[in-house]
Amino acid sequence: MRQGDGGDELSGLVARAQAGDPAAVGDVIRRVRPRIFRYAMARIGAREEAEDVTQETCVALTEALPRFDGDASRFTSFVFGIASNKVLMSQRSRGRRPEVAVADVPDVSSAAPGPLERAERDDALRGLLARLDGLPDRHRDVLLLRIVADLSAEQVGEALGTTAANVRVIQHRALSTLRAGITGRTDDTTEGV
Amino acid sequence: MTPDDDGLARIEADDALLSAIAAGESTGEDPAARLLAEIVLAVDELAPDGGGAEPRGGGDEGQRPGRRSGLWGVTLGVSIAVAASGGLSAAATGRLPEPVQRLAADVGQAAPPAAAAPAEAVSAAVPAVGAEDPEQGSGASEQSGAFRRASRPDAERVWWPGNARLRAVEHRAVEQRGAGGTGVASEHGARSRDYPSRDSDERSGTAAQWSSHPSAPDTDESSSPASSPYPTTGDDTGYPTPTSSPAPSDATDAGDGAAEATEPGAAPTDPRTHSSRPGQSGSGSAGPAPQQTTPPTPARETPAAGAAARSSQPTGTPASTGQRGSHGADRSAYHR
Repeated sequence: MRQGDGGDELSGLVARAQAGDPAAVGDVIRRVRPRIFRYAMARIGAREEAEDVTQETCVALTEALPRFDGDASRFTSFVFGIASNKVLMSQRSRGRRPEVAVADVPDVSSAAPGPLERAERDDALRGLLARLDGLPDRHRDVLLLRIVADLSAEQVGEALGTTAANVRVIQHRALSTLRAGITGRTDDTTEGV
Repeated sequence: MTPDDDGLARIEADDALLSAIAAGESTGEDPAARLLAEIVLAVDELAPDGGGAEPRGGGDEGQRPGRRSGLWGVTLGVSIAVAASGGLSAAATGRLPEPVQRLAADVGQAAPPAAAAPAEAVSAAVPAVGAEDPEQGSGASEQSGAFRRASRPDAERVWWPGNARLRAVEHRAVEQRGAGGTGVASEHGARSRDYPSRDSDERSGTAAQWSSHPSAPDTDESSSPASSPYPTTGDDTGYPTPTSSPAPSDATDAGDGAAEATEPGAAPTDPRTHSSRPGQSGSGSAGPAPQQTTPPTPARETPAAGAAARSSQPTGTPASTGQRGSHGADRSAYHR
């Protein structure tokens, strides 16, 4: 976790979880799960699939906890390394077996946004993410890990198995590509007018 | 500043820019940064509280909603029913949550004391598989009928998926009972083959297959082939074609064999699957219309259909076994 994220507390939780404390495992999952979902949502753009990826990441994380060795900062990288792999696996399997999620009928009333509103928000996010389609997958992954998962360059490097310097170069190239694409699009639009 | 220094500065500037975007700070006029900031905002809307200790949406985000509520509801219902009928000891009742105790007390007052035995009360509170038809109810369910109505007035009208399976099992049982030479035999025999054979002698079986196939609609001999939703032969060879007109009385018309083969009250017989239609065994050597063991009465046959049946009457010898076509004959012989 980055500064202010309660890294010491998380370290303690992780240590207890590794020692077999079920409550600590639950606490760890509760802490990281929202961020995993955010990241999965930004990578995938489909809520149901992002939920599945989040769940699979949490399961894998629970199984991998005993093998983790490091501090809170490395733990976050560890978590998002798993999440990144799960996203890739999900995208591959989606290519093999296309599925269309249907809405569950909730059994209980909920104050959460209704299906229409959620669909509109999902569409808005997908529209924005589509503008990143011109980027290589790794570049997109780096950008989203940086801004959505809120990881530092060092953490992204650990998660993706590379160095922080390489991450910085990748994100610089990604931003340059984005700028060029947006500027070119804007120019095209201006010329069209 | 050398080009290398310039490049490093840009890289550092982009790194700082991304950190600012992640922190939700102003991104200036950079269009790429604005786009990334919009993405962060959109994700925040969909999944707020990115770094919080609690899952979003009160813990429901990312979970399928309400998975446990069904089983929990059944458990609660059984608890209330057992407690209301006095089936729990005072100590056990005392361990129930207070709202459940209150509800159990209310239900206990609403139910007549004769509802009595706990097991019956449970079976009343949780509608049993196959309980959709009140006439099928056992003595126990009749005794606890008042309780059933009090606890779930519409229990008898609810379609439980289990009923379909039960019906299928019962249906097979009825067929097996009827396969020993009753009118169901032809239907049973026809169903034993899903597709028509190329054997010309078996072409007549097509009609029986259509009429007895579970997906086939109710048919009526008075219906003309033109109204059939199924493929026809396109000629006047008398190929029988089941029609789409449902005929509630059809079950009794054609059920002279099938209905009699079913033991009274044994199972809810579905007219669509149990009825054999007169006049639908088609043409050919197996014989067409008058194939019913109990021939259809003229009053049930419309003039148009009768004429059609007569005009399509082939030269083949009508089968003396009525509905029992070649399939049925083979099958019943096998069963014998």
